[in-house]
Amino acid sequence: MNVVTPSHPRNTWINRLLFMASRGLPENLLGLLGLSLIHFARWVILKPADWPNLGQGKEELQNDYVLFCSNFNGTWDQYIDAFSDGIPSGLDLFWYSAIKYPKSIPITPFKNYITFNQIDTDYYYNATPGSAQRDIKTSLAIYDQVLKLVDLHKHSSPEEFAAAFRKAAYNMQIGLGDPGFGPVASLATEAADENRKDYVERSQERFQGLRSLRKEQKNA
Amino acid sequence: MTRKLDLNDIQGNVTRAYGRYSFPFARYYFFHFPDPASGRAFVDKVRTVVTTAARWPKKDQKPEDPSMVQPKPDCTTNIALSFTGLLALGLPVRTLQAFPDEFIEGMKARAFILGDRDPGETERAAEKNKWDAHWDPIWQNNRTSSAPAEGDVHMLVTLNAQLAPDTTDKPHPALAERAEWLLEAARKAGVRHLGGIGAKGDEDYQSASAVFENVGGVNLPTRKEHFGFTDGIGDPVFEGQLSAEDEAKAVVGRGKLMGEGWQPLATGEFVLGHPDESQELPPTAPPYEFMRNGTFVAFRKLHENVGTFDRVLKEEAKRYANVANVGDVEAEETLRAKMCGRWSDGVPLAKVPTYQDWRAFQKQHKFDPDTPDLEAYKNHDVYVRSGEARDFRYADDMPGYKCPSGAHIRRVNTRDYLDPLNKTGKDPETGKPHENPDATSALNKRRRILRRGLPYGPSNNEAKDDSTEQGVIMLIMCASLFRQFEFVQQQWIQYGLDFHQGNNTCPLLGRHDRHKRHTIPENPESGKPPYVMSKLDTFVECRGGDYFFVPSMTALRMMAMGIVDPT
Repeated sequence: MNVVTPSHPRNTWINRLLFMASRGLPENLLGLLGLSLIHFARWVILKPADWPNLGQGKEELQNDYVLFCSNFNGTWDQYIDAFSDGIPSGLDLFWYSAIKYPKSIPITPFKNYITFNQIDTDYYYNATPGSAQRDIKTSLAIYDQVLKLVDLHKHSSPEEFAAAFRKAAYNMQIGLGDPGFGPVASLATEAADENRKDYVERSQERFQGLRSLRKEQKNA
Repeated sequence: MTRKLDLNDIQGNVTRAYGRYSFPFARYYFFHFPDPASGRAFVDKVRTVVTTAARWPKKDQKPEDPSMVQPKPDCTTNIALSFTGLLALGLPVRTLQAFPDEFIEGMKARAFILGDRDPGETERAAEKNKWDAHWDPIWQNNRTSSAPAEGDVHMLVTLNAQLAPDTTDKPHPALAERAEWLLEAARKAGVRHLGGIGAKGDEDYQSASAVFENVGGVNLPTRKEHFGFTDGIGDPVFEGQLSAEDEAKAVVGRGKLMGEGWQPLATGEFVLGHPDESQELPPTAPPYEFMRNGTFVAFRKLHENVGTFDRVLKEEAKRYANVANVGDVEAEETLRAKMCGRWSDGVPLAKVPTYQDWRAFQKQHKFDPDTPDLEAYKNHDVYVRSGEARDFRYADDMPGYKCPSGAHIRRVNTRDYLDPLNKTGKDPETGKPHENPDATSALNKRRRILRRGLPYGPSNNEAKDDSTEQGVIMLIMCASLFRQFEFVQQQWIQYGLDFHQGNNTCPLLGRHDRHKRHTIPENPESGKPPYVMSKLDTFVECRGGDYFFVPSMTALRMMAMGIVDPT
């Protein structure tokens, strides 16, 4: 999710201070970190001079902007619901200086505010499809335990190994669920995925054709 | 301050789970409106006998407000309408199009989200394989196309009855009388009564009743469902539902924890037109009074594969007895409890975590096997009704040593487990798991549902297997089927991420065709190893149902008269 919200330059310093405070005292972020459907969340303050000129001409801006960028597991509604329900006051601080920010409760104006200020993502790359942040953390923890056991297995007695195995089992029991894809948002998503498949396969074939053509040309 | 509701305007099944108010029998009837006029005539007739939420007088007690009190009926009657039913009544487009998407689509179209069809298969493949072939014919024939169809279920009428006088296992004759009256009213109005219920489709109505058991030589209704678990203990309590005096007791363990002890949930989570937990009025369709004091209900027939459940449990218990070095009975009882989150008699693992503790607890409360049956039955009833059976939390057991994180009751009502400030791992100072005594129900209070159903099928004195007809008729009520019921079903029952279970589903209610595991964590201090159940099979499967709107008395009158006007 990408949300860009204007902030009056007279007030932006307050948000800068709040972000500094939360970076300096990470305990203040525990609520956010505890919402385990979030993979990453980042807030960046953009001054008018920071906007890139990619040939479109210099931007004439009256406000500072806060860019919020996050990656999460689940649907848009579930994400905003959890935000508003779980850490309402934290959100209000992070968007403290945002112009016309309605606060995170009640939820409809908050959802509208995000809808009107978000920029849709056209492309999303997922390096770990089928695994959420939580799955990855527990899988890594289990991997470490297994490596230790493999090492121990080489030179321990059966009794030693049994005791170590049991200890490792206690540490691993938090993450023994099956891996797999999360539930899909809607039938529309499923249908879109299925309908898109033909197009993706066809373009893959075309790429394949282009690749072999280029190879032939190179060899010739 | 408790919110005061117009109880005469709200249907009685919204505020009361009749089954818990000495109504152990139910019949569910379904109707189809061939044209708007006949539908309106039928609604107009039936609405006159609808049971409202008006309070029933208590013994030796003067009512606070006499106008809000009605005598307790022998048989209750309530109405709900599907989206196709509202369409068939000829409601204005502006009203209809403001209904929520999931209600307009209906339950069958949402089967993929609910896990009622295999999510590993696409919709097209599932359609080709006739995924709903095991549903009751009435539900197979419902919503066969997006255009109005002959088999569409338009209206649900629920009748709940008390025991007949001087009996312990017979319905009050008022039930049969009311049923006869209802069918006659339908015939006169020109409304079609739909049969096709039951696996063979040979039933005219869906019957339901408490599971009866022989207690000390007498057949008595129990609180059990067909797997043997005590059910329906922790239904939510919302503002205005009960009198101030009743609320104080009932809210314990059934409301929300927000830093001031147990508080009732906001009315708007369950009744439309009132503020909800997000401090706003749930969105409704115009005109204002049409949806106010109404709600939504999901009717779901959930079949229980008792044979498969018993077989899997026996196999797992054999292995568990060996691994944990315990006897067969302890192994079986422990696995049952670790799947559910409560011992089979409803005692919560969160408070009574071990088998030995549980046996001692039963003895102390005198519902142990040594207490005479009838006395134990009564004592057990007192306990299950008490706050003691409900007053517990999970934030002091983050690793799930007592109640596994993936257990059924921990998934469907997460209490304070999902507070974002709860920490996993160990507290470096004490070496024990973090406890967070200030944890709240923040991420649970917008996901609660009311359960207004009863089991169906034979009594416990009869033999049951997968092919016999038994299960639970679930009537799930909430202001938003999407945000509350569907979320719980999809994210918490059919998926496990919020509970550190990966894709593992609820051990009792989840699909187990692909995911067959349930982890039972163990406290290192116990000396027992953790145990992973790995042979789970699908124990509960949906056999049909749909989403319905539960109108207020005002809305019923507006529909009957044909005066719903959003302009």
